[in-house]
Amino acid sequence: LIVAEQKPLDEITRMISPYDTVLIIGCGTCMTVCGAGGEREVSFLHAALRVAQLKGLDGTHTFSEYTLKRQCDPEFLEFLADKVVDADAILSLGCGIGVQAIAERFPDLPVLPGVDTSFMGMATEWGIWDERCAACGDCRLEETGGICPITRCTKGILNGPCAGTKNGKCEANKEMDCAWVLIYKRLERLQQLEKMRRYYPPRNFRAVPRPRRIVSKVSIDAGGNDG
Amino acid sequence: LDHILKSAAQLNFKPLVIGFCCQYGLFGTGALASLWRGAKAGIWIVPVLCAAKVEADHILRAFELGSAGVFIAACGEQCARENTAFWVSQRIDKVRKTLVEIGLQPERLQAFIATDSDPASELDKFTERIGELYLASVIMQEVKS
Repeated sequence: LIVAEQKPLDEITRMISPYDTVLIIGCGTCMTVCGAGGEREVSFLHAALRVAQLKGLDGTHTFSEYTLKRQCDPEFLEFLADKVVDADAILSLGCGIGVQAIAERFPDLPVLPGVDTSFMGMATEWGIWDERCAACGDCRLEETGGICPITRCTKGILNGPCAGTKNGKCEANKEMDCAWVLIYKRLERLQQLEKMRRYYPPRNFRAVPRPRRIVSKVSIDAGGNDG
Repeated sequence: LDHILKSAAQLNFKPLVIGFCCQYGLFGTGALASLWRGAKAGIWIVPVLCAAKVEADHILRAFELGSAGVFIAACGEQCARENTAFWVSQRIDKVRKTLVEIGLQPERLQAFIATDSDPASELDKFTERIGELYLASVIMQEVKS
């Protein structure tokens, strides 16, 4: 899932300072799971902003809160239509995609990001998130025993470990496992060590043309079968 | 809960200390009653079914309603539920960080776990510290005005 961190409170107060009525919107999908912008975090931020306002006595903002099931789908954004009527600005605790989706749906309202979207990852234990996928668009996990060297190797190298690996740990961070040692162990266990011998040509590191788009719908020709 | 906190705020205790206490553990049963009866000035006890159910925004709500200090009293290892102390410490840490960002002292929020050596004196120390902080803030306001 997409992992993010909530922005510091002073940054948020600085962002909202020109607006009187602010609607705080959470997201019920990734941001809820990673604890950055779910329903709980929305009401916590709401309370924190109120206390900060009470303490600082600067500005008299009015806050309201709402949590969508998902911010990145146009269907769910319709639920906001009647909520944004009184709002001067929207503070979105969704990932960067959610912020942009809301901004596209409500072009007349400023939308402010409440979290720093960080990476795609998984929870290794409660409260600890690790990056697992770089969304490079060219998945080679089949060849590396299900462990991604692009993401989990600091250097992202493709043909075995560098000379810096020591006792199975990375030279950049002694706490971190060397991805290529993990790959070797896993391939050994799967009895597929011959995959280690294969040579992978250098990746094409030219800039990926952005934004990327995947089209999975097909257009139906007029007069064609009705599917 | 909001109702209880509001009624606490109406008491006009200066400084007001709100404590979320587990009904069963440390401050449960007799201890809770005696603490209440002891009428330790300024302490308002909110009995909760489990200290881990006190959410971070409940704590902030207590501060918003004018509490100078907040404590959570959780039961330790004899707790009927799992990992109470862990969840309480997570919440405490989260709220303390926010308190610092708001400009309040983090020691205004404290957790008491039943395994602590002498909870009663710990609580005394805590209320004393809150009193000091409260006096300091009053003096600061006087100086400013």
